[in-house]
Amino acid sequence: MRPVTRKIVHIVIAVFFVLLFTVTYIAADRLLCLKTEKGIRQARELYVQPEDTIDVAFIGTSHIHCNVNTALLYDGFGIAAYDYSAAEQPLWITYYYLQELCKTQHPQLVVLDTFAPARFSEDYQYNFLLENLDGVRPSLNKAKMILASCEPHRIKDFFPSMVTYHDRYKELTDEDFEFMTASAEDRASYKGYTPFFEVGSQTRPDLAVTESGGLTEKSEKYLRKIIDYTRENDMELCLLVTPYIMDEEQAKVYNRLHEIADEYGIRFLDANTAAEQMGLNYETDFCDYSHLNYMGSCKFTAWLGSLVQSEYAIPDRRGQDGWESWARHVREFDAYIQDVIRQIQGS
Amino acid sequence: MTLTLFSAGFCLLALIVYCLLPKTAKLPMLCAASFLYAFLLDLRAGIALAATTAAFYLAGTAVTHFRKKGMDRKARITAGACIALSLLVLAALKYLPVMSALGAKEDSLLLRLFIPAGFSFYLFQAISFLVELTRSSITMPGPVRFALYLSWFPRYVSGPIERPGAFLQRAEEAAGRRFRDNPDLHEALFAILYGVFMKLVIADRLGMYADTIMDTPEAFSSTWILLGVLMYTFQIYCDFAGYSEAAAGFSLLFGIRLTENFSSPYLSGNITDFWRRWHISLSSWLRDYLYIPLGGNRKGSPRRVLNTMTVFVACGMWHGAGPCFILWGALHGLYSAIDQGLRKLPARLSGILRGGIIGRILTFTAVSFAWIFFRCRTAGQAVKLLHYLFTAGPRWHSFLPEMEALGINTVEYSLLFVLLLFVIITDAFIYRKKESFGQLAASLPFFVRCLLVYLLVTAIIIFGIYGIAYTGGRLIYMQF
Repeated sequence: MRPVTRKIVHIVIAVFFVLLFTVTYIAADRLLCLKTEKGIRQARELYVQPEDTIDVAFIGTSHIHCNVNTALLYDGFGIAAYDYSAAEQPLWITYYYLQELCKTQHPQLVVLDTFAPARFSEDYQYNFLLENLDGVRPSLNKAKMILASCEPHRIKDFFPSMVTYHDRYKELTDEDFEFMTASAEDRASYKGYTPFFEVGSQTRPDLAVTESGGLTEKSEKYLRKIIDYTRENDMELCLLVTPYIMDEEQAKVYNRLHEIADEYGIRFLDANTAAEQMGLNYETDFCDYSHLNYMGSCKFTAWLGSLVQSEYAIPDRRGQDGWESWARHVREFDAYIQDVIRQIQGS
Repeated sequence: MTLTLFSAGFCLLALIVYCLLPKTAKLPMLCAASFLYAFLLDLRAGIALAATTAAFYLAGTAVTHFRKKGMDRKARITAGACIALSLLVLAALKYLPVMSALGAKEDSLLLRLFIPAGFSFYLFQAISFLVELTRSSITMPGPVRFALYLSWFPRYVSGPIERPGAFLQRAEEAAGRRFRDNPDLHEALFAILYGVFMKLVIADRLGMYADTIMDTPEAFSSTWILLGVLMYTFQIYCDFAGYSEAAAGFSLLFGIRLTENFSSPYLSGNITDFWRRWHISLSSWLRDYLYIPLGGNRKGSPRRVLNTMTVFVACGMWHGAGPCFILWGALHGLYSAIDQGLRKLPARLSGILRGGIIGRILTFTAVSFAWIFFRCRTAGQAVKLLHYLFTAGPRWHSFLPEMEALGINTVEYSLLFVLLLFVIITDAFIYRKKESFGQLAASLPFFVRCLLVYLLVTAIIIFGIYGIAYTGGRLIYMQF
């Protein structure tokens, strides 16, 4: 073979293997990636939502995706909402989540759950960092998210994402293989809501805290950035505290958050003060001290949906073209609930 | 160097700078980079390296001066004193913390002594340098070249132990060549990939299971304890050989070929052959600077056995301070003595026992058994493991439950089988062709080379033991 021909053949072979490696990496990433519903699925399925269809975005911690019933919001109120949240999500990640959301969506209302700044005071939180990062696609925004969330010596533990799940080949399930071939349309009916079904009886706290404080500098900085961002992008913002068993220290933080909300003329909604109004039963409607169960989330969502419908001019999307994925979401979720009920009754 | 992202990044940066410099600046740059690497790895280790370099360079200068003046006796005394002092320091750093732990207070200075990373390895290189200088086998190099010889960063942490003459000659040749004229780049790439593969995919994986079994033998049947010992046998090989392969690859990127350190040792037909294939740089150092000066095999059989035992006990002591390391060394001394006896048997019988399949099985079994003492840091731990190995019973009915308890499912079990088969087959090729993996791979057709790169990289990414779930990453031989 002539040297020039040999060189061309070598280039073709090299390009072939580069492409083969790329395809292998992408396929392996898709097969092995985590599919948990503590934030990863919520973040991942955002990308397959039809563009500019989310009217209300709920962002924050698991208090959102466990408590805000998106199927009920659509079926009962016509509100096209998405639970774009992750477990123990600190505000600095929420800030970058918001920017990620706005790449393809332009919600009219953003509801920010404020549990994280009240409950956690560390500047770097690693317990559920994986669940917060893995579902977000690589981008400059994600790079900034990682830099804000990770100390430099820990970055290699979370980036690239493959580092965190490359060894899942030992524990693959049917779900992993189904995900490889699932279409965007199939996946779009997922709206983030992931209810609990356990019952954990709780005692309602009797708090009367008037002091404010305890909000960390980093949380306050990113809260203000979130507020500024929503204003710059013509989105209304509402700060929310979902029903849970809070303590005095957390109550002080909420008071401080309320002060900041008032500073900007933003609504601060503490659902704990409306427990009777929504008919919440502390013995049957909670999963644990921090989360409502399915029954509790339906009561909470009904109250929240009514409030959103009356106070914000959110369009009713029921039956509209372009919002079929929400109708499918309602049907699939109803079938899922029937299945769960059958399993519970059977046991 | 350690097999970490930091080390790889450092190497890449050094390579870029190296390629941009003129020939006269290359070796000084490599020397500076090597010391910088040591300091970045650990400040105290860098200081120890600098101090050792200065001390031995001064000693070398004195030796050269005395030899020029015809004062050979003074030259030998100077070299001897420097070597003795350095070995005393090595012994103190290795043994004082262990001995004083028996009765010292918690905040005792003795307990806070530590061996700087790579000390055992570059100290032996320094001793080799002084001995060769005293014998006039080499001439005194300049300070930069000497410092490079001791500190060369790809081999800094765990060897191989280089000889001064050969290393400096290769370094000079490499500095005189342009990067694109380096004929060994493909070999370097494959050496690095294969080394990382052996370490991250095989050694660290086997280590997870071997550690559990050997630390808690009471929870396992004899079958699994035996498998654990075999896992450790392959773990230590893939760990150290993998490191050596990768170190050789990184060094070859700069055009500097390192001494071969492993050559399919587990395919050896007898223990003598094993030590010509395992940690070759150490065994040849001990042969040249301890065994031969003691008289070697020139003073009759009893003296030969004594010399052999002395060398292997010293080898054990070099590896660590505990009685188990000495026992491990003594065991290999005994094996060597037995092997000497087997040589005297009739040729046919000797050939069967010292070669072929039977010889290989016997050698592998003996070496694996000795590794038990190497792995167990205390005599009590070794006795406990041996007790359960011989008394727990095969317990075939609990084979699968114990496997499950280890976290080995069907997928992992199959993967382990494939990986070990790959290593054994590759070693067989290396043994037959008498070439390293890098050399073999670099000579393959282009398509096969690309396929090999694709398979190795994919295997490392998916099957490598890395990430927050694992606390591994430490080289076994780094602690010596």
